[in-house]
Amino acid sequence: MFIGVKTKILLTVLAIVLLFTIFSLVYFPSLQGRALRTNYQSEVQNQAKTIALGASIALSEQNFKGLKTAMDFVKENEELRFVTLIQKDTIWNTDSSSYKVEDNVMVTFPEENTYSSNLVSSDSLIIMKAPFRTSIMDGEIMLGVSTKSINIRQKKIRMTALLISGAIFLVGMLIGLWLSRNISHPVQALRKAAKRVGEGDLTSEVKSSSKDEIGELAVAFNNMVNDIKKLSDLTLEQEKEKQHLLASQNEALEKQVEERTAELRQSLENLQSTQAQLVQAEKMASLGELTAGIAHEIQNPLNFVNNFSEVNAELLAELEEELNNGNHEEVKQLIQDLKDNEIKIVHHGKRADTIVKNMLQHSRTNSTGVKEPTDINALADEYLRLAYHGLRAKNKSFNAALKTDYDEAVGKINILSQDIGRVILNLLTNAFYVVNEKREMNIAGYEPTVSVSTKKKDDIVEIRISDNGNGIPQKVLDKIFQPFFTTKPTGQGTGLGLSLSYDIISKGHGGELRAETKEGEGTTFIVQLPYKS
Amino acid sequence: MKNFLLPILFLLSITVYSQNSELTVIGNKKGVPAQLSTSNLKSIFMGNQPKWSDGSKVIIAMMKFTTDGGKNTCSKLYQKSTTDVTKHWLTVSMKGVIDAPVFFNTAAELQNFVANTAGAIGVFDGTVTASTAKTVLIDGKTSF
Ligand SMILES: Nc1ncnc2c1ncn2[C@@H]1O[C@H](COP(=O)(O)OP(=O)(O)OP(=O)(O)O)[C@@H](O)[C@H]1O
Ligand SMILES: [Mg+2]
Repeated sequence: MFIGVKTKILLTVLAIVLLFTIFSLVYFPSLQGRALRTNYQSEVQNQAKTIALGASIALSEQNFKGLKTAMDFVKENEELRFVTLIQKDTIWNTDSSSYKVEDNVMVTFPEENTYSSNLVSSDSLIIMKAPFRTSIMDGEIMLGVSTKSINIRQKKIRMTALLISGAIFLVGMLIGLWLSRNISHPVQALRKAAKRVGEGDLTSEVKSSSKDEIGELAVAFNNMVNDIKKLSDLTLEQEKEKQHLLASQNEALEKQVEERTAELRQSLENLQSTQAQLVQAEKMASLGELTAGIAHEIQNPLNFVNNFSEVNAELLAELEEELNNGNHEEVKQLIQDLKDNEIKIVHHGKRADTIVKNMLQHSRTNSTGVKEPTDINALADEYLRLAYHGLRAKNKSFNAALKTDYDEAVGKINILSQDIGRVILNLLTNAFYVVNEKREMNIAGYEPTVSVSTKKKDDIVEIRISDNGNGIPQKVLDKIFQPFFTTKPTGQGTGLGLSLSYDIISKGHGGELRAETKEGEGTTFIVQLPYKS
Repeated sequence: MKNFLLPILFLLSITVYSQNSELTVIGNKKGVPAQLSTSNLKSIFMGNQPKWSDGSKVIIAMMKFTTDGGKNTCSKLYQKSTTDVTKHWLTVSMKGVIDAPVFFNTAAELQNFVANTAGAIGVFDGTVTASTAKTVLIDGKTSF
């Protein structure tokens, strides 16, 4: 419930005024009335005493003047109801052991009134007694006075009190009204202004002329509103500035982003082309390695062909001679030798032919994409030799023990033979590289060894290529399948070998390629190829 | 001191002298009648008559009841004890119908008072000395 300041002040003043009014209306008159009655009672008592004194003087000295005067005085009082003289007779019992006092009304004024001695005061009557003692008799004066005059005076007092209370009430209420107006008006004005400020109107100002706390409050309020206004203006301006700044920054940023995006696109394109080039280079590099091996491989049969051809030429000359000699047996023998040599020549020629064909196959950049049933054991063995001889062709000092363990149960598997060949070549190249590295460290008793093994496992074929190099540290192991990661000196490796191999095995064949390594002891790369792919 | 002693001695001699003597009633020249009956006198001395026939106030004078004259007055006039008479006058004074009676120690003082107070009537024992007051005859006698 909302009770305004005005109402509160009015109620407070009303309460105070009411208290005052009640005091002046009830308490004050009753106090006055009681005082009046007490005064009157003591006055009456004094009169009774005077009469009693008069009586005792009259009795003891036979001087009745005092009594008469006292009586005359009392009789003048219009309120007098009666004066009674009571004789107190002490009556002893027969053996004089106990007595009682008997009241005996001797005379009452006015005579027509007869009052018993045990009358007591009431609201309308005040009764006062005064005893006296003389040798002649003991007695008491009983004075009865009506309270009429007191009551009238009390009424007057009450009337006066009522008037005064009314005046107090009126003046109090006027003061209350004035106060509440004086206090509540500025307070209400303040409240209105505060409400308006709360609603966002910062132009509202309180006009206050009162030179008191409320006036000061109004001034403080106005100052505060001014401050708020200044502050909010400042904040607004700052906000605008900030937004402006932000907008321009955004623009610049967008521009930058656009530029960067263009740059990035450009560099991505560059990268893609570089990558393509690198892939090409890698292919070329492996081709180089192959070429060295192939050259070596071709050299062998060519040597055979050349040698046997030369031998055959010699044999033919011999044959001619023996024919001329007619040495029939010898001719037969020579022809047989020629035939044997011819077979060898054809054999080695065919071998060279195969090698060339293979080389051509490998150099084809993009395979046909058709998987063909391939003998994994033969493929592995072929590339082992190619790799080994390729390296030896480059580095005459290189030497390594080769161990093979082919599982005959492997049979044929549907693969892109060139791709898998390239994988095996890569893995073998890496293996030879590390064992050679370790060999060059001249560790006593170290024998560089590279092994290749195949194994049929249910529906997959597993190819293991192991070396006894230095192994791969964990930090390096995490990255070896990343494109362009290499630990080789600059210019020696592209870091694409394992990355391409991984793609060929996993994406191209749905298989797996992983490495198991032990630092200082060697590494085994495991290729798993599913039969069904 | 001598001036004071003499009247006391005089008083004493009178008291002794007037033991059981007759009572005389005197009255002021104004208001008081020359003759009264015994019952009249008693009624007046009971306080029943506030005024004389000419309208002047009745003022009663008596010897104090401690004196022989006073005692005589009680026994002869009132035929009551001094206490009862005193009580009687107490009640009369309370009612205030007539003025309170005046009591004297000596007959001379009483006579002097009666002689000089209008409407005053007094009773005492002894001889009349005041010339200005008149003796009231009771049932035709100067004393009773
Ligand atoms: N058998 C292995 N033993 C120890 N480390 C190996 C072996 N095989 C590969 N690595 C590590 O993996 C890295 C990446 O090999 P990857 O074949 O991808 O690139 P590369 O051999 O460094 O370069 P590239 O093959 O182009 O000549 C190598 O640099 C080498 O640190
Ligand atoms: Mg490599």
